[in-house]
Amino acid sequence: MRLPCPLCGSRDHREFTYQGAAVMLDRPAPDAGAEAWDSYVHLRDNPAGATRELWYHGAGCGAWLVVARDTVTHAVFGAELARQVRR
Amino acid sequence: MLADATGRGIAETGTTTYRPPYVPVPIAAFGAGSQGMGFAPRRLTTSDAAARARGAVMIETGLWYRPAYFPQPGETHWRQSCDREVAMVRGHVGVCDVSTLGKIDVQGPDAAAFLDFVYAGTMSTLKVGRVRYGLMLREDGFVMDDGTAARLGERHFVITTTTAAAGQVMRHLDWVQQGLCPDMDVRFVSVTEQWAQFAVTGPMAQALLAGLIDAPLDGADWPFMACGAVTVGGIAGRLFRISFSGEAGYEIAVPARYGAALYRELVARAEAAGGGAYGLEALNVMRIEKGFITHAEIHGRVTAADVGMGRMVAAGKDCVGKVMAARPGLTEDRQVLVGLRPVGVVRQVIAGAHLFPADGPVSPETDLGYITSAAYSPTLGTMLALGFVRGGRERLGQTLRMIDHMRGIEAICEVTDPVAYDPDGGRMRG
Amino acid sequence: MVELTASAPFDAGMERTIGAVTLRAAETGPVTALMPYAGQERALSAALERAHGLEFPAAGRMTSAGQARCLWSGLDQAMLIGVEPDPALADHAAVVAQSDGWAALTLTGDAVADVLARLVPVDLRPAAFEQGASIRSELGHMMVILARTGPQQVTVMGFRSMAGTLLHELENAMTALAARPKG
Repeated sequence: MRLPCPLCGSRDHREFTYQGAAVMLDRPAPDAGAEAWDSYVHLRDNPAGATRELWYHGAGCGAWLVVARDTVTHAVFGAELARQVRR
Repeated sequence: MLADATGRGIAETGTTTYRPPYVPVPIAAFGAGSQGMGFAPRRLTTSDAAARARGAVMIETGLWYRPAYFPQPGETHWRQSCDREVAMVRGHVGVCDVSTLGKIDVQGPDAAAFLDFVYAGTMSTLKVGRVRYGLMLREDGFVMDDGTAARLGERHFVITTTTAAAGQVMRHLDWVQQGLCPDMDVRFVSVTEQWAQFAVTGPMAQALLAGLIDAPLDGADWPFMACGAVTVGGIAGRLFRISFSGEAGYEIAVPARYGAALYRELVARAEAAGGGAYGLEALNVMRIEKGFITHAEIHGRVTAADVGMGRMVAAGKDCVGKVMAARPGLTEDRQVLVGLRPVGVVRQVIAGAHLFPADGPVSPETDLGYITSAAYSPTLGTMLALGFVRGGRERLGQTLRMIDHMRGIEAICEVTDPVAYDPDGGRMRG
Repeated sequence: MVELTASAPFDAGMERTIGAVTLRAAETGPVTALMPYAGQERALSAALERAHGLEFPAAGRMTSAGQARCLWSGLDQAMLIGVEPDPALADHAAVVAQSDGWAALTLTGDAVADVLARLVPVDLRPAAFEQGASIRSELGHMMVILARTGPQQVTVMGFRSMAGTLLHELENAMTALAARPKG
């Protein structure tokens, strides 16, 4: 599998580490309550199909990326810098 | 075989599905040269050659090679070397290469605010020229790593990590900065390789360094937990007054090109003062004597409160892990850090052994905890251990039954405070 | 006053020729990480030009002027190589010494891309990795910066502590390549 790093170009997946679903970007406020925090830390959807994931280009540019891909077809639709998604 | 089992003919059974390789291929070809020393990169410190020349027995810490102990003529067992090195450091002075610990240079207008968010404690209140111990938590509330933050300037810090977690911490910092705090104006880069760093520790440490660095080394100018720039033979270096051994101690850092030369110089001067080089076995004994934790204790399922550092999680600010660390499951009825020492006939405590009440049945239901680190303390003349025990702080002075089910060894232990040696810390603080 | 002698990651003048490829220790001179603060990349680039005659490189690129080179080395980061950084740069960026942290080598010859193809998961042939390109990837299991510094030359920078492994891996790849039957 290759991932399209916006800075480095298409790179083999061995340069990256997988973190999990991109919902991890939506950190709850400290007073959001136990359910919001439990969901943020422990609960994830597991879609068969399109998903948005966080990958770290650790052996490359060091950028955190949000990768859009399909868990059934393994197609990779694109990747953007996580910090730009936040903004 | 399958034809026999199913009662059909061979032709009718057919063959298995064809999958490569179609011709025999030696396993070594798949290894592609990754054999012996080629299996993984070797990371060597600047003192590596000098340590091996002194007969150091090396041990792997991740990809790094570090001296475990330095056997002297006549020593045939590692415990002899280790016991001697501990006495040498506590009685005179010892030198140990600590370059492998992660070092990250953090700068920018929001450097202090960033560190306040990644550390449980408050680093923004740290004065320039001072060092503070800190815990980093995971977002699920457990301790991820421990280390120090040294403030070299208003907007300039150098933080340390454990050797094993250096890469993980860097990845975490990148995550926090890019994913959670993209508006914070802070930049950081690893300087683990840039600086060779050596612990110089023991009653003679100050005298040794005073003779080596270019400016006077006055205890008043360098109180415990101070840091700053020094020069060694005109070379710009850094000095940190911190101690992992519990003796008066410093760490001195120079650019890595001078590491080999500085190590030789430090060890020569240490030997002249009745001391010398020490390795990881002795380092581990001394930190156990002091109740200092390593990843044996912060193994990924303990909180700051579990290791007696609950107050280090600052009340007035958010940080990674703050909210989840306070959840009921992590605050009630926990196994907390204690010291243990054997008081019965069997004078052993063993890492990995479990702890049960002195009387009564032994079962998973009566299991009170486990030992994480153990060592013979030549300083105190007994084995010592650190471990986690349910209600541990209320059990000080109680005896528990230690059972190593794997080795079939049992002992009676007393629960103690984790700090066995110099509890007031007077030897460190000076 | 004590005198500390300096050691280099490789022996001075270290050179190996195996097959059609020559590997040499590279003297980088000073190496400094430059990380522009928020919104300061253009100002940093201007300061770099005034002081050292080159701009801050775009991702995947290298800029150079005389002895000075600036290699892109990561998100918001480049390495200034060959000159001590001008103090004015610190107005716009975190400026962090790295001169002692890296072990640098050059690989020269027709078959350089073939040697590196065995170790680096990136296409380093001249068409894909042109003069002035600077990337970050893995060589074996080691993080490296790779720059094309000539039509038949690539500069490799790895961590100082792994200099031995870096040399070992490259020599093995050069040997294996040279051992292939010709034609």
